[in-house]
Amino acid sequence: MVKYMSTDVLSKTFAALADPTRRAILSRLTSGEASVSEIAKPFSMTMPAISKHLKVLESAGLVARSKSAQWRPRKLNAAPMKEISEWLDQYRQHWEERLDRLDLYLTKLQQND
Amino acid sequence: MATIEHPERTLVIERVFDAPRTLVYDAWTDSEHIDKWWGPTMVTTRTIERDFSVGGSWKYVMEMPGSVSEHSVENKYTEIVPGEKIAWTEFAGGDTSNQVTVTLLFEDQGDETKLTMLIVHDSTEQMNMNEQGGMLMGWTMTLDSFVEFLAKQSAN
Repeated sequence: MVKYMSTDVLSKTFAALADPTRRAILSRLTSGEASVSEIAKPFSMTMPAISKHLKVLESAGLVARSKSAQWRPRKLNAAPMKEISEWLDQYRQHWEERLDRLDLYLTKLQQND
Repeated sequence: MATIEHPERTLVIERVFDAPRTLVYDAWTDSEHIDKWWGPTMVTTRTIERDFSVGGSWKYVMEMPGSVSEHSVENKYTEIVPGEKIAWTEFAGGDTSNQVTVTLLFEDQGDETKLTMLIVHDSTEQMNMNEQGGMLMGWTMTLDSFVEFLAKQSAN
C-alpha cells in the first residue's frame, strides 16, 4: 500500500506558502542569507509583522537561522518542499497503478464477451 | 477540454482506455466491477455501503491477507452526470486533515474512451487565508521548478 508522509508537515508547508508576503520573503532568501531588517526593507510593514511571518516560515521549517554570525541571519531551507514533491509523486503513482488495474480489468471483461 | 479552476493545487492524470465509454463509466459506478480492480492484487476491496447519488457515499474496506487490520474509506459523491462525469471527496491516505476532491471526466475518442482525472487538494481554512494569492507550491510543480521560480522572482 502507499505510504504517505506526515500530513502535518504537508499542511504546514502549504499553509506557510499561502501568503504572498511569505513567498516574497522566501524569494528574497534564494539569493542568500539576510538579516531580519534586510528582509523587512522592501515591505511597508512593521518589524513585528515581519517577525510574525518569519515565525510561520520557521515553524514550517522553510526558514532557518544561521548560527555563525551574531546578527543571526535567516536562510532558506528547501527540505519541506522536497517532502511535498515526494508526497505528490507517490500520490500520482498510486493513481497511475490503479488505472493500470482498471485497464487490465476492462481488457479482460471485453475478452470474455 | 476540462477547465481547471485551481491549477496550483490540481493534479491531472489522463488515460485512454480501449473500451466503450459506457463500460469505462460502469467500471467506476458498479460495485460488482469496482471491487475487482480498485485495490492492489493482494488486497481485497469490500464494499460496505454504496449510495451512488449526489450526497451519497461509497464506504468500503481494504483487507490485507493475514492481517487483522483493515483500512476503511468513505468517498462522498458531490457531482454525477451519467456517462460523463463523477466527482467525490475523499481523505488522501485516510487522513482527515488532507481532503481531496476527485473529478472524473469521460469522453469518447473514436472507439476508445479518454478519462481525465482532476485531483484537487481542498484548501483548509488556513490555506484559504489568501485565496487570491493562490498556493504557490503547486501539485504539479517539482521542487526544482519551485526554486527556479523563486530565483526568478527575486531577480526581478
